[in-house]
Amino acid sequence: MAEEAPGGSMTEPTLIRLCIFVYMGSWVLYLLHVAFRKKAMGLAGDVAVLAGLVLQTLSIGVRWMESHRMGIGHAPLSNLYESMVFFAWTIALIYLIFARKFQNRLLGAFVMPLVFLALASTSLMNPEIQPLVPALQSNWLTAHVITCFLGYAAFAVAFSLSLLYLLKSRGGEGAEGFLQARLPPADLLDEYSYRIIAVGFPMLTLGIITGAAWANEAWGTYWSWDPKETWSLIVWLIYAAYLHARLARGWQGRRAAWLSIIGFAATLFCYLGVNLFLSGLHSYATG
Amino acid sequence: MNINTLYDRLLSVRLTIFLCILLAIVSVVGTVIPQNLTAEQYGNLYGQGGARLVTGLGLSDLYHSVGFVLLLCLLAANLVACTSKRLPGTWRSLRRDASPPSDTAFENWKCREAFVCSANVEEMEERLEGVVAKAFGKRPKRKTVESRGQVLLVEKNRYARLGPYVAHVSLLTILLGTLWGAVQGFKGGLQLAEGEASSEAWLRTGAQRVPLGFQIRCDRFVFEQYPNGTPKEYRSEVTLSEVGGEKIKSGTIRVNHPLTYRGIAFYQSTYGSLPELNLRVRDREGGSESMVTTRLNAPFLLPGSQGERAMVVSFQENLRIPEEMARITSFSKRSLGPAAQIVVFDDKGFGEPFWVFRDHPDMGKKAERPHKFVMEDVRLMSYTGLQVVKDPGAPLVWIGCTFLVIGFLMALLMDHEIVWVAGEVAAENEYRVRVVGRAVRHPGIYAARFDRQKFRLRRGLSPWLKKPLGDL
Repeated sequence: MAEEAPGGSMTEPTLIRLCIFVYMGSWVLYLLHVAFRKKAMGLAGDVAVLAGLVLQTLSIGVRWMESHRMGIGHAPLSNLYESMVFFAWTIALIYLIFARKFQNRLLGAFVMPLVFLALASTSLMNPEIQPLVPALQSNWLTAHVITCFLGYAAFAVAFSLSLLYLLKSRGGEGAEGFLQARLPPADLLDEYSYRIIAVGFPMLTLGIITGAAWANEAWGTYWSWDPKETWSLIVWLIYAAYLHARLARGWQGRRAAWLSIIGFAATLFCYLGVNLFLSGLHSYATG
Repeated sequence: MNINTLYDRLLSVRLTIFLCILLAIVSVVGTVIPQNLTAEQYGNLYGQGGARLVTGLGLSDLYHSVGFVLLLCLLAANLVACTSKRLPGTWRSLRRDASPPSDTAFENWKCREAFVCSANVEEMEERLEGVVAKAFGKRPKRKTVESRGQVLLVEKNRYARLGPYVAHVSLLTILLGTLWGAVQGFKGGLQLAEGEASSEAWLRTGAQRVPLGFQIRCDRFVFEQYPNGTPKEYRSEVTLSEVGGEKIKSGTIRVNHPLTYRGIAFYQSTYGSLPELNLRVRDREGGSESMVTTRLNAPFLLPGSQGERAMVVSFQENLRIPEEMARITSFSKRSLGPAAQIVVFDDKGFGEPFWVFRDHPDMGKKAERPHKFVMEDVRLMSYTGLQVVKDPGAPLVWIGCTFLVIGFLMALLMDHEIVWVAGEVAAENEYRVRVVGRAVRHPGIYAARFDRQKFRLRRGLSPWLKKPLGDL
């Protein structure tokens, strides 16, 4: 209680650090599960992800309450630190929902590093709770961030599935390496990757639309070809091409998997690269 | 290539995919090359040759260049062609029930199951409809098939087939709304000092003014900060009135909270300070002298002249002399205090600008001019910068956006399901129920749902069930 920093809570970054270890633990459990083919370890991995998710939800809640205590209350979705924490949270959430359907824990061994690396990267960022500048004081903020990141997280899981597909299909039908023997059939990986993109795409669309509605309210223009806007459109176009290629031209397998991988690379650039390398309206670059 | 093959190309989904990828790649270029800089700024970035290349290829305003707009038009044409070609057929098939299954459908479809029941035929034929309705959550239709007689049909989400059309028409609506806004609307700006009013806005492109049809006055501008110095609020308190007439209403404009009146919206955009200068102007010949209060870029009449005009074209709060200049001039000080650059226009509207200094009234070549300017006083007035937008296309854009999402949900997360159920007498006191199902767009995803459906059907049939034929 003694070390209450003037800028914000000390509890929340500590909790987040704890989450990193829980998620890493789940990853190790998944790896052990894959290596020794013990069902219990896969189950323990699921439990660890759930524990991490609960803990992380708690820490997000703590941060939210803390901002209210400081008199600048707002949903913790406003700067790079907060968005990165939320990104990790959505990936873990989407993975967990999906893991119930997808009875193979090798996916967890591929997705969990995305989660704890995203969280670990927040140690490079400023965790201070900052008041909202006028442009961010809008009800659109929450809707925009949540829909965008649900889309991003869906693409992240689809990306992992596409990687697994490429692994599985490497060396043709008969090839059975260590990992290949532990993976579900290739066409199932392909199908599930598509299904997740089919959920992520409308989410991204909603994210772009809420962003446009917000820009229209703040600046009187719903589209200004700002680099962030443009990159979200690029991501959207790639997945639109993916869906058309798949639904109307029957693209499956390797070509579809590569498009999904390129799509996720563009997604990451849209989220992080634009802020690091290009300049624009999304102000959390310096966070 | 003749017209027909050209039209076929336009119809192809291959073109759609190609255009999506091409637009994505071209769009990347516009985020790497900064947009809408001056020739000088491009010169600093890429050198003279590079700058010429960038502006020559239209890369300095890529998203409004002819090539990019043409790509968008091609995509729109592709959407129109695809929609108009395929919609009528889809529409017709929507109005009919699914066409009867082929003779071999019950043995061939990937999703199929059969149950053997022991009950008399009349009872089963009576009950089957109710059992199916319960299992599939929808009352089946009775159909007659030549080879089998009566069969039952359950169709679900038939209208999901319209999803792609809804999405594509929505996309066209958005493009149309954007176009309509660009043609019928305007985007401009307005700077108002406290107490100042205007009935016109400056267009963002070119030095053109557009009348608002009413007057807007800035009563007060407020800038608040958090204790740590970050901005908390920018607020303009304004009053709208008829031009030279009665007051309409008062309002406030904040970031994220625009004020809209008669289709024109005002957004809080910037703020700053503008100089207001008090100039004493003396006509050297006539000897008359008068005071003028003026702002930047606001022409004023010179006293004692026949309509001769002057204007303050620039202002520096504290004009600094560059070091090289200071060495060759006799100024002992390097900073000269407030300075205004003034132009006196000749009858053709030209004139050479000269500087007037508040703290050095006699500096510069004064004697040659017919008028002497003395800056008595300068006051910095805080002003608010408003974005002024009229966009009649925006409602179309938002309608398009709403239906775009609905269309995607229909196309991607719903599917047209067709289930056929047939009952047949297999042996004496043995009644066989066969069920097959498929989904039009995502057969792979449907398989799992069919498993659940057939499980429910089995439960419904359980009072009469002998043994399942297939494995459950």
